[in-house]
Amino acid sequence: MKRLFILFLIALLNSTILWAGPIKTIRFAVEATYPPFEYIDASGQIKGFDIDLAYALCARIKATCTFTHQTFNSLITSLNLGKFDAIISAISITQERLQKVSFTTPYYEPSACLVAAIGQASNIVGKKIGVQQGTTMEKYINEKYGNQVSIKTYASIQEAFLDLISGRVNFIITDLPIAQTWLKKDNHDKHYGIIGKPIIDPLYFGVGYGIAVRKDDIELLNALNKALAEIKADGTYHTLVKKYF
Amino acid sequence: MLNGFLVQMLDGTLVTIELAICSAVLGTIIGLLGALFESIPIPFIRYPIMSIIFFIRGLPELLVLFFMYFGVAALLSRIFGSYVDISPFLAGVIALGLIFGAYASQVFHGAFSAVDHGQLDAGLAMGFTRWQVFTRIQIPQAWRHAIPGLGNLWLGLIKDTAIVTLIGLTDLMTQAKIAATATYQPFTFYLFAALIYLVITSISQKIIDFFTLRANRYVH
Repeated sequence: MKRLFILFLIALLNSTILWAGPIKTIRFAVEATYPPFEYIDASGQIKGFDIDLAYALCARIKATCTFTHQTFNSLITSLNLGKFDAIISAISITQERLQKVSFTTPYYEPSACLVAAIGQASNIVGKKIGVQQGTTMEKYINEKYGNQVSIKTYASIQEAFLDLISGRVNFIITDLPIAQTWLKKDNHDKHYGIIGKPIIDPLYFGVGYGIAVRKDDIELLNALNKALAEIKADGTYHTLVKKYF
Repeated sequence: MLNGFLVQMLDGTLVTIELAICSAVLGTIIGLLGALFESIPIPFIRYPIMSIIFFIRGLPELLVLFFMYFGVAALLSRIFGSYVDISPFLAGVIALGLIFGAYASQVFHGAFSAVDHGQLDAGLAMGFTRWQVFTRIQIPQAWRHAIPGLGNLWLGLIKDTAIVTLIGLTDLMTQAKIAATATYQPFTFYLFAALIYLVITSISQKIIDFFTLRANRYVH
């Protein structure tokens, strides 16, 4: 009876065994509410800079890519569980994350910035700050200004922008390209702008965005790094950067 | 219409409905078994079942869902030595089904208690078998008492399905969020999602009313 139950369980959960050998498919995960890096368009397709980059890399490796949408703060946990093979979701390489996963060489170097209503003084002390959960910006704001500001966290950065419009937060701290994309939409730049200078702090924001893979998946890491170097060398990468930024 | 996101929203609606129906079916089975085991006067069976039900009713839905999606996947992978995937849909159905079942067991328990014990004795005295007493005397009357409670649970369940957004299942709520992100029109899409939920619950209410009337047709 017990054996039957276990057999039933195996049949119920479609179990996957990790194969060794040439890489045929790479299952990528993204948090697809982060334009221009990743978003889902009207046809239901996941699109964006990261996605095009992943396709370019897969073409080099001669593997097929699949993409799934996940919440940001569960990406690393799910990767280590094996729910997918790699994360390409504007995720910064930091010391803390390197303890849990391996990263490819950086493929984009962002800086963080503050977004607020135009005319807002750039001093954030005593103000309300919106930030996305699980991001490097959240850690930065908590550790640098934890006692001096009140922090509101959101599962998606878009919810933070909504609260900026409704006035529940005074500032939003996010990646520069994300802020720029948002400002360009719906004339947001008439009322809101980037306040002060972009924040660069390698201690918190790391050395750039990388693709995260499981620590034991050295084969995939090497393949991705090799492909990344190749598309940087042949100009594919620059075409993509020009297209999006 | 809706910047081309209509089809996606309807896709999400379908996922929500599928999830709710699967969870309700699983939950009803769990609920019936729970009520059955809880009424068995053997302490070794009764008390473990009662404590499991107590436990699940006391936990937030979100915790049960995360446990199913992350915890159970990790546990099974450890046991089998290789990665075992639990899809978001399956995790959602099991988590929501367990919660629905834990509440439903109490509804069924109450409904069966509402049928007077004298009727069982009368049935047996008339020469009915135990099974006939169960199907012809207990169930039709218990059903009448269970419907309002089950109806409430179903309506609650439809709205609870929205938490699967957090494990990456693209249900109605997730689709609304995705569309809102891509178009920067949150109000349009959240309002549309709200309308769809309202349509689903309204139709559900009509069906529940129909069954209530039908189950009570002998009473008036």
